[in-house]
Amino acid sequence: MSLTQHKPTPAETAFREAYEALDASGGRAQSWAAFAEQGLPHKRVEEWKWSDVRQTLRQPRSQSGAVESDISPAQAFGTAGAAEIVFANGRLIGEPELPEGAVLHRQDEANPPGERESYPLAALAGALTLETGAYVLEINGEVSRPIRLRLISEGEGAHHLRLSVVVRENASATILESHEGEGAPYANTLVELDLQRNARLKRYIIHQGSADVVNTTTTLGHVAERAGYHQAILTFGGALTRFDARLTCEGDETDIRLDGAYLLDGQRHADLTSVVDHRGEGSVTQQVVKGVVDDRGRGAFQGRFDVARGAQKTDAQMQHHALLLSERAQSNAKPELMIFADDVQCAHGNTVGALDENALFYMRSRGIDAASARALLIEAFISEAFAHIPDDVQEEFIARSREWLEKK
Amino acid sequence: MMLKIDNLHVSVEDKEILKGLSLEVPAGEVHAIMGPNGAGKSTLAHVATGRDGYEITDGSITLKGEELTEMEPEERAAKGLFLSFQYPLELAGVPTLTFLRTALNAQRKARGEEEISAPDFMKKARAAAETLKMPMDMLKRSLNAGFSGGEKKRMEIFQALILEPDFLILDETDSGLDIDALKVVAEGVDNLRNADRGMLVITHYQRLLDYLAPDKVHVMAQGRIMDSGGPELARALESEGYDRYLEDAA
Amino acid sequence: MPAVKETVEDVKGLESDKYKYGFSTEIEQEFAPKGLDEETIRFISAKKGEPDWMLEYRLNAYQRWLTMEEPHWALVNFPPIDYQDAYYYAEPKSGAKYESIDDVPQELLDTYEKLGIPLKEQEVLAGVKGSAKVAVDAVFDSVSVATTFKKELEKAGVIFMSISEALREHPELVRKYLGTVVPTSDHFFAALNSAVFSDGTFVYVPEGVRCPMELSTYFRMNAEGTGQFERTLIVAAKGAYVSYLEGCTAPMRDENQLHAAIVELVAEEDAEIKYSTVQNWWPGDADGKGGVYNFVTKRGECRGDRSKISWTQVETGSAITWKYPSCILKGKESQGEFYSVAITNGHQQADTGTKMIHLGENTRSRIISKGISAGKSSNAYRGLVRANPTAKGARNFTQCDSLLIGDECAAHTVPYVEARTPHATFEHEATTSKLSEDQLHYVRQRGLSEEDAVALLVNGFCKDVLQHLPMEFAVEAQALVKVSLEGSVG
Repeated sequence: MSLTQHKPTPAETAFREAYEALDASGGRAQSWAAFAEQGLPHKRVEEWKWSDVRQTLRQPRSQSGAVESDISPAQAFGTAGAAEIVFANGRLIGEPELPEGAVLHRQDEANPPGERESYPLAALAGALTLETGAYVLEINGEVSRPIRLRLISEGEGAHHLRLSVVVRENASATILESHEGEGAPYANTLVELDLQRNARLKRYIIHQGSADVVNTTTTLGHVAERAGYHQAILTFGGALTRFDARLTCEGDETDIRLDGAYLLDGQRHADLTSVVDHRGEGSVTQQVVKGVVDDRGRGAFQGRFDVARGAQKTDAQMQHHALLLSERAQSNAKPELMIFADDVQCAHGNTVGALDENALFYMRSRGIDAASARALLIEAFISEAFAHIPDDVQEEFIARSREWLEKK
Repeated sequence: MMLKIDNLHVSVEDKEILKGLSLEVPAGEVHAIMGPNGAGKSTLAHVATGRDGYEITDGSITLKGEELTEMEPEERAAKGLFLSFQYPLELAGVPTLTFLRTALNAQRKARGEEEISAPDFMKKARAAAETLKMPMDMLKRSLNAGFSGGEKKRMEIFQALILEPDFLILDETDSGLDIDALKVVAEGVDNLRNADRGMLVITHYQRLLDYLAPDKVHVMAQGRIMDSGGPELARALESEGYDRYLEDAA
Repeated sequence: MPAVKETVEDVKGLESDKYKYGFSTEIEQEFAPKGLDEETIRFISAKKGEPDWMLEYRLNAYQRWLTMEEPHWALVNFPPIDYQDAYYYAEPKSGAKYESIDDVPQELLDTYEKLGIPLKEQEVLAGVKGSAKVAVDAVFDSVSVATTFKKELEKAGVIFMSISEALREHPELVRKYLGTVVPTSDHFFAALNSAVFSDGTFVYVPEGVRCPMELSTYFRMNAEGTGQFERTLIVAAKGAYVSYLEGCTAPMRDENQLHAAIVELVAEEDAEIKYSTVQNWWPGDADGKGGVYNFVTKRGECRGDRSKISWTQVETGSAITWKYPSCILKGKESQGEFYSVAITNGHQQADTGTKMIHLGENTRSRIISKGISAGKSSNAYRGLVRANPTAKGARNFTQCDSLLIGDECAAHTVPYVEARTPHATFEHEATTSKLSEDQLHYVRQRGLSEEDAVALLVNGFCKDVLQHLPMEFAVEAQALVKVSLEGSVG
């Protein structure tokens, strides 16, 4: 829905005002034009059927101010002993000390425009990011110490961040990313990935914050020959949460994992959306997403694997399984395959249902109380999504999930 | 001559696998080919039956004097060539008997013969099943679907009993069989032996040959026949291995 | 359907010069004026001597249609359709009704003969041993020209007639059900059909009656540029059972032909409707030119408890197929089934699937979809399974398999799964694979030609669906699988 054709919503008008107050350089104008053309996505746009951003962002929001209180120590990945990059309300805090082989700098024009303009919220991030252009995290070598990336959001405004991660040929790194939020801000993040030949990036994301946070995080990635990208997300949702990853595997023999879990209660919403476009030969992509929804939570999973003509020997497997724990819980799924090559192995599986009563009974008959039995079963169910995460990070994912379960 | 292979050179993606292989099997005889892994034994089975992906750069294969190399796989089958596959395939949703009757009638049609009637076909199938001690309900299922390795091998011989080819190539038919199954399969193969039929048995091991008593044993290595002899050659190979032939080639 | 079997065996290939059904019958047509406006609708309604409420229904639908946009969300591409450049009504000129089959013009009978349609009873019954009786309501373009077996059906109390006739003879019955499953405002093509539908079939099976024979309608488009807007309404009253077969072929055309039919099924308490389709319309020539646009709305409502609706389809024809036979599972313990084989070859495009909407408690649905893409074609499964909060104990199982033959075709799977209750259990599996070289070689080694081998393997791939077709249809379908895939390998 174009802003030029339809009456802008108050939120869209507020975004326009914010844009007009900024210096229109570094590709902002192009991004704004693209956003203005598309407007805030809403449920009548096919890809946003289950995540109505326009409806959620009814109220106008001004650009978030700086976070004034002291930044509390990291909660997520607290034990990982990593280097740390902190953004609070879209602003870089301090000078990060990064391990050798990693540098953070700013670039007015980080990526060629064009791609982000196709996605309304990515375009919005490009238009309204506080700092012109993008922050670029560049990985030049084999960085073994994980890099912690904290994205802190507070208040009731909106802030937008553009971050690029470039992993050079043969380089590798692990990013431990936490999305932390209090109050009712709208945090909109665009992460542009450039994984060059034989590069490896592992990115583990925990999103946990207040029930009123709106978080939309778009990842646009390009994966070159033999490069690998492993991502796992654990989200507890918010007023609206969408982690949206679009990966283009341009080279042969890329290696992708896109795992995740959403654990929702109250009226929280989470949406894990991804598209992996396979263009080279012999690539392997694996995806396991689990969802647990309680109360009036709403979970959505949209996964799509594209296999381009000529992308032979692609092996792409997708699994999404959701458990509904209450009468009013909802789960929506759309696992898609778009195949243009014949010599491929592509499959997906999807299930939705309640906890297996037989298994529950079996455990109880062995003397385990109902609550513990449920927790154990759910934990086992979720854990499959974390099976490919390195041990220490996996522990963190499981511990967080367990905390959530214990609250039940 | 039933089967005659003359100076056969075969390449896969520009790599030469068979390097001037020559072999003759007359009607009424059973020959065995033994050899180490990578000798090109399965390539020979594939090339003889016309599998795609192999380039014949030189030489010829004739069956009863007719050149096979330019024929489609199904034409070779109609000429009487049968391969018992090393790895028989599962055909989901294709009932075994439907498959075999279709195959038999296609071959008959190609040879200008009458199609077999349903009752005659069933009679034949029952007799073959009895020979191989196969329960009939195995034949009602989809071909090889959910079968064990041994059951699949038995099913290959069952197909041969139905199709009655002039020449059989048995590609490692003994692998994956326990001793009882081996005996049954060997009996089935033995049943197929007659004065008008030839067989080529590709194997790693002596044990199938103990039952079949081949007329001749060939040793294959490095893409050619390195040695030929009587059944005693197989026993010598069993105890000494193939090192001699590999060194010779090197 | 032995005659059909024969026909199918004779049909050779996809290319235009091989398409046996590509002939047109020379018979004078009486057209409604070209284009669509209220006058056209009044003309159609008057021509058919419809009651006033029906005219109102049509005009209302037309007004709604004017406000709607042609949908484009499906994975198909077609040039814009000029809805004003088509005829909306055509009928054979020599009068609409024939008292007996002997009155039907020979020309028409010859057409059916060429199509292998068993219009006469003896043809229907010939050949296939123990085959069920099949009643045929043949639709020649828009007007039903012959209905057989009418007496026997009447004896059982089954109403089986053209919908125009039903509007005259059983207006209140039609009025009670028409548009209750697919409302006029449902979408663009539903509104269009509701405004201009020319004819179709009405079936009513009264309480407790098991329809004594399979009912069958053959559709055949004929007049050049005449879009067909069939309307089918099948009602199974409490405890009734009916099995309905639909099969189609169309003559060769240079211009595209729009077909926007609506099929509505209503199953009351304990009733069962089985609806089977073999669709083999003209798919266009070797360059993808011409061919039928098949934009069909098929929907059944399991209105009563323990009712059941089962859709089985074999889709091999049409340039574009856009159809989603669906079930609304309202009654407690009602069941919906969808078994589909969709084969695309050449430049065909198919976007087909189903919706299973679970509303009632303990409702069940099952979806088995087999898509085969060959040539330069595109084949998409699109489905929705939804359980509303009221659908406690709902269960769905979906299996979607795609088979690709050759490296220029495309296969897509787009399932939507929406659960609004924890008491529903949904399972969905999908796979994509290619016809394996190893399997092909294996089968050819046993003596089958390449094309026979492909047909054998593809029929095996489709077996879970084909076995749900009535026997006489299954034979035709298997032959069609082969014909549809000719030239796809090698």
